Amino acid sequence: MSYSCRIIRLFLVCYFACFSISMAEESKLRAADGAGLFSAEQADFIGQYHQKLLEVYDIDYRVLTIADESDINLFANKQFSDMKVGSLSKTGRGLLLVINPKQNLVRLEVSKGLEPVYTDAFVSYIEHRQIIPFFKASQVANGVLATSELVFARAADAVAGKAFDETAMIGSAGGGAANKANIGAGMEAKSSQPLESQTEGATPNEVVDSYLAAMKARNSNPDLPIFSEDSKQMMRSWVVTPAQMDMLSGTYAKCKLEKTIISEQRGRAVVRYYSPDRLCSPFFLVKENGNWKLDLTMMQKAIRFNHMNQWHFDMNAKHDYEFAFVDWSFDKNGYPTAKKLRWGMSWQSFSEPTSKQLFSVVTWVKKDSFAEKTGLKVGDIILKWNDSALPDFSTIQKLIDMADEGTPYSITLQRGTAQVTLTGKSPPRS
Amino acid sequence: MSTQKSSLGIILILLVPVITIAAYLIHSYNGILTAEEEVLTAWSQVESNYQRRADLVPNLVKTVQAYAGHEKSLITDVTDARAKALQSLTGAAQELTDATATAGSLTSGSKEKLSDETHMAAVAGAQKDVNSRITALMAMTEAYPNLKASDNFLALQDQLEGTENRINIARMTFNERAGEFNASIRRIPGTLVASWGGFKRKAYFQSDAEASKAPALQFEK
Repeated sequence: MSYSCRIIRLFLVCYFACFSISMAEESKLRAADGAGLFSAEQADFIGQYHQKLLEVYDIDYRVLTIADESDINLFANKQFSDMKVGSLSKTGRGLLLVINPKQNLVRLEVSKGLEPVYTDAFVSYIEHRQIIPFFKASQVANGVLATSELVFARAADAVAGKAFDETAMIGSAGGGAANKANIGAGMEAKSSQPLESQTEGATPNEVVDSYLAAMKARNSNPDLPIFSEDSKQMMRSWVVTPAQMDMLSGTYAKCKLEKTIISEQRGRAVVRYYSPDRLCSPFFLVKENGNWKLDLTMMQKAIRFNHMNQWHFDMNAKHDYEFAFVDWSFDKNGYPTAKKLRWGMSWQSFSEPTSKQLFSVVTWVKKDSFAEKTGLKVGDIILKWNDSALPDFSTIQKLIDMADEGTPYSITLQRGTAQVTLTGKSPPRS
Repeated sequence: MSTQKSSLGIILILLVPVITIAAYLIHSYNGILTAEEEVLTAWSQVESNYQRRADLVPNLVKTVQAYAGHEKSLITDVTDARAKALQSLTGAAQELTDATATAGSLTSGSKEKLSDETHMAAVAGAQKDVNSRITALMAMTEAYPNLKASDNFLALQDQLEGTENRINIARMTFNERAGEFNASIRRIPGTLVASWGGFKRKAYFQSDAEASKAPALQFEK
């Protein structure tokens, strides 16, 4: 899942979330586009996104474009005080991004109070590794927003590490960094580095691991054998920046794998993560020519991120991976929540290597659930459920869903070498 | 009775302008005092930013010297052109250390000498020398892509650039404050108050032609 897709998603996510903006603040935060680099919608959107930054982290972040001959460093410092950047923040926290296409320069000016958080070296890093790659591809607004995401992410880390100075400090003393903007210089060449690991016949988890290792090595090669054909096509035209790759590998390093749901029948698999903050979105994999490949195209359609970089589903996007989320419910915005389960179990379907016969195995039984009380155990192979012999994943799902409360059931299981039959009456719908 | 009343009136009439003038002078004095205080504050900003740069120099020198030492160990023939180039690199690093020390000792204690044009020009000259030596050293490192690409070096470079910008901003602010102060003691009654209060014109902080155009310490990365 390349990170650049997050930008596109953000346009939609924030659009609905940002309606309650006071007009005065919005007009100040709206990108002041003297050089004509943005459309009206883009300038508005930047303002709306930065409104969130103000609400969540009390940072007054302005964007200004100008095409003149003045020294960008001195200009940025003067504008910082003339525009009273930081005045919307209770603690005087301010950032000013100046883009000068005429001189081909970009500068992010940092207020005194934010210097410990956005150090010169960090500002220079995000300029080099995030904003400039977008500028080169002539995607100025996307570059600005992608940078705002890093500003958000850094603020979140700073809150966690208590790096914010809570005392109010007004104005800028010249903190920040300036660099060549290179707008329209041409998209940076993608890496052609091969993968370090062999992916022929790899499991979905191994494919995901290879992907994360590639991101850690800043390998932007769109033709890696771990991508589906559609994904490769999409990746070739995407701007993939070193900062995005750093952030992606850094984020997943913090998340614990929850489980992998494989449907051989569908040729689809999903790798899910435990993540209380929902920072690590699931990976979708599709089987192509007998090998598991990352389906970034479908992830891009189905998964969205809010301004806090938390993922959720786009409930309007239909995708072939819904089977892997039956044990979760989603609120109207697509945020996952723990489901009140009717049986309190999960199962997976596998195919028998020689006969290719599908069979289902119980993979999880919730404590104190109906499934546990009935006597189901992890590892049970479901030989028969009512009249269905060797039911597959979705058949079991239907058998559970269709049965009204009190309908009798009979399940025959293979447990080790023994066969066990469980009978009883269906639990109420939850 | 009536003469007493009228003489009191005369005294009052005479006293009013005296009190007014005294209040005006005190106000003017306080104004100059505030302006001078602002000059001093602006100067401490300049000084602390020079200190910030001086603190970065040892890191830069250490990084360059460590790299040069490593490279040198790979070269067996000391008459090799490459060995000579490395020697001039370490030489430039050493000179930068010395120049920073000189500029540092000259700059400290300048707070009392802000009106001394000769001293201030010397400080500006010495600090500019440090700037040129950093720029020169950075230009020499262009020949060593391995050094330039190291994260440590890149971060140092960013910090140095940032500090240079802060120095420029602080210096401009100082010159603005000094200008305001100087104007305040040239005006009447400021000029009277200043000579009576012992206020002296502050020197602008600039050397030769750099005043109009700030030197940019910007490296290619």
